[in-house]
Amino acid sequence: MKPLVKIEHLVKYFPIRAGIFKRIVAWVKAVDDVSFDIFEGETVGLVGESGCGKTTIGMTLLRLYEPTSGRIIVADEDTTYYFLPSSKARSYLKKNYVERFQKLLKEKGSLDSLMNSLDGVDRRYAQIFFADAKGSTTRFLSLMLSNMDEKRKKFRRDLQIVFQDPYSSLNPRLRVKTIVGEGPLTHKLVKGEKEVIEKVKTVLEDVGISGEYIYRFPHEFSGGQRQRIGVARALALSPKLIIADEAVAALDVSIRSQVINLMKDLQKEHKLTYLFISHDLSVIKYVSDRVIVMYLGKIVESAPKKDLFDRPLHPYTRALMSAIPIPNPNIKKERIILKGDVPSPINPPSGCRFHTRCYMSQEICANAEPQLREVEPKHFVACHFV
Amino acid sequence: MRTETKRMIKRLMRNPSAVLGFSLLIFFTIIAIIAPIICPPQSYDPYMIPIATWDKTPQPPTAEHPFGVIDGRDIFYGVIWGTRTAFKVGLIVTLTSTVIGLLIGSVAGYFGGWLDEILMRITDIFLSIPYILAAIVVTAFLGMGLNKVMISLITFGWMATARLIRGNILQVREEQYVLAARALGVSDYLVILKHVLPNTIFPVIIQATMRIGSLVITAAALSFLGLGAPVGYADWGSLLNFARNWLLGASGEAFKYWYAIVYPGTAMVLFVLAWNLVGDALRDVFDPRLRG
Repeated sequence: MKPLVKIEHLVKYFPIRAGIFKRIVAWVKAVDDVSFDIFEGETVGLVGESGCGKTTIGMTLLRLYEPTSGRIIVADEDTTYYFLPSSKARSYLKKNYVERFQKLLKEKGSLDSLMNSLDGVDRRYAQIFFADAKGSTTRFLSLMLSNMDEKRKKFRRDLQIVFQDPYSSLNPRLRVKTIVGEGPLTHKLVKGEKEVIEKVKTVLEDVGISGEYIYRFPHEFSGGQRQRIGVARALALSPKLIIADEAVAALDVSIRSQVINLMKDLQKEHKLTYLFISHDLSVIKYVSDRVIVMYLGKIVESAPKKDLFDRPLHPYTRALMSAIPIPNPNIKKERIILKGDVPSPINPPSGCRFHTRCYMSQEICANAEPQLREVEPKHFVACHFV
Repeated sequence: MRTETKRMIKRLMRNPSAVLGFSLLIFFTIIAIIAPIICPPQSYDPYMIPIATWDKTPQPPTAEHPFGVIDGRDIFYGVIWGTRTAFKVGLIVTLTSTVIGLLIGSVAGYFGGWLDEILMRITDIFLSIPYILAAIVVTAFLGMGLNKVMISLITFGWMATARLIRGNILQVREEQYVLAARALGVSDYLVILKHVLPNTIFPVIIQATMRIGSLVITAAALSFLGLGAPVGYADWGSLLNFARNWLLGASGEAFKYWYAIVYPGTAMVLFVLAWNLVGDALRDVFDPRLRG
């Protein structure tokens, strides 16, 4: 399987401003050095408590927020600079590619060994730099910055989002036809009124809403139907990846399973990839192929679903798992109760960020930050004692 | 879109207070338009009420002066031509102050940060000054005349709009449908045009409509205090200013000079009522959530 999205060392800090001069007094470290891949056709579940940065990852991935640093590769293209103002995009490309390639060339000595040391996007871009641009920075930059409009549009087509709140995610003044048809019209996938109506009807029927309803307003639908319209809006662009940001959290349980099953069916039909962001472990267990557990802006554990739910290794994951309610009063389960609240992301604890609440915490935890390492095939954990 | 307009009008017709509001408004508009036919002007300035008699005491309605005479001037003429004055003051002041407010408020809301801070503190300063008092002081400072009144009303009338549009933009900017539109790749310009403005502008329009009525009252209050239009100008407030000395009636006859108050007063009340009802009706029409 090929990775569709590669997130490398993603960092997103939000400034806190205070006083009449709006000085930056602190940073909220919402996402701090997070790396993971999303492979084509899989469903990745992203779990964690509220405030752990899971939504921020989704928003940053979609570039509704600009990342503070890190790299986001989508379909073998570095998309990090796509939405930056051109001067920032230039300095990003210079720093991340031109200067790095030049330094590598000096270290390696020859072009061949430099090429061999690189892979994926880096290798392709090195080729563009050394072959197509013949080592000229300005030519490389103009090659990389050409057709930006098209690149941005393709990015927007490939990545779509379904939001949490079915009430505020649809513009109350627009009809369903306009809401769902906006994407295809923007990307010129359809032309003229007739094609728009046809497209909207097809997509709506895909998500189980009658095509007769295209002239209705959002308030004329129920919560579940609205969420289906939200899915339809994303689907209308035939995206590769859909980010479902707590997409079913606001629905009641019976509707929730309907929408989840709908999304699973759509995945098969349209070969979709999902990033499912949720705090609800039972939802994650039901939909995901692979699960990533976050705590306070960091990944603490990542594993295929079965491994993670059968044998959680990180103490935080274990505590989460022990909190899943079992609808059987005869089964007694040992619960791990976490003390206190999630610490502030403005001033996260030193070392392992979980050590203030961890039942296994030792001296080393406060001093050294555990790295995410592969303890079993495909099972990554960031803990000193695993 | 045409069926949509038709449906909107149909719904308005079913609402009696909307019908009343629009009828009153149409009635006043017609009067303002055909004022020269009802009351042909008799001097070079049609807004100056011609002098009927040099007797200063009010005279009750007669066939020749159907609303009576006050301060030697025909009340009927004043009420009819005063409609034009009311429209002029209400529309010009509201339009100008709304445009100023929209500009300041939307700049503050969109760009945020420093600019927002500065603009909003200026707004606060203007808001902290009592409206009528400020209008009186500015008018007294600029000198008499309707234009001066309008300037002072505009100067102190834009803050509510600025606040309203800024707050709305701040709220709508973070709505998920705006984020969704951005994620679809819709350009900023279209996001503002299709998603932000339609959800922010209507409260401003409704508020402006309702303000037209209350502005006429404020302008009349200034005229009543002798700060507005020059003596003899066709303006409801000025007519009431004439009536000030006769408010108590004659001894034993409290309502002797009723016509001096009732006619211009009724015109003003109906005018304000018309705009308020129209504002209410617009609010119902513009909010799709209230659609039945």
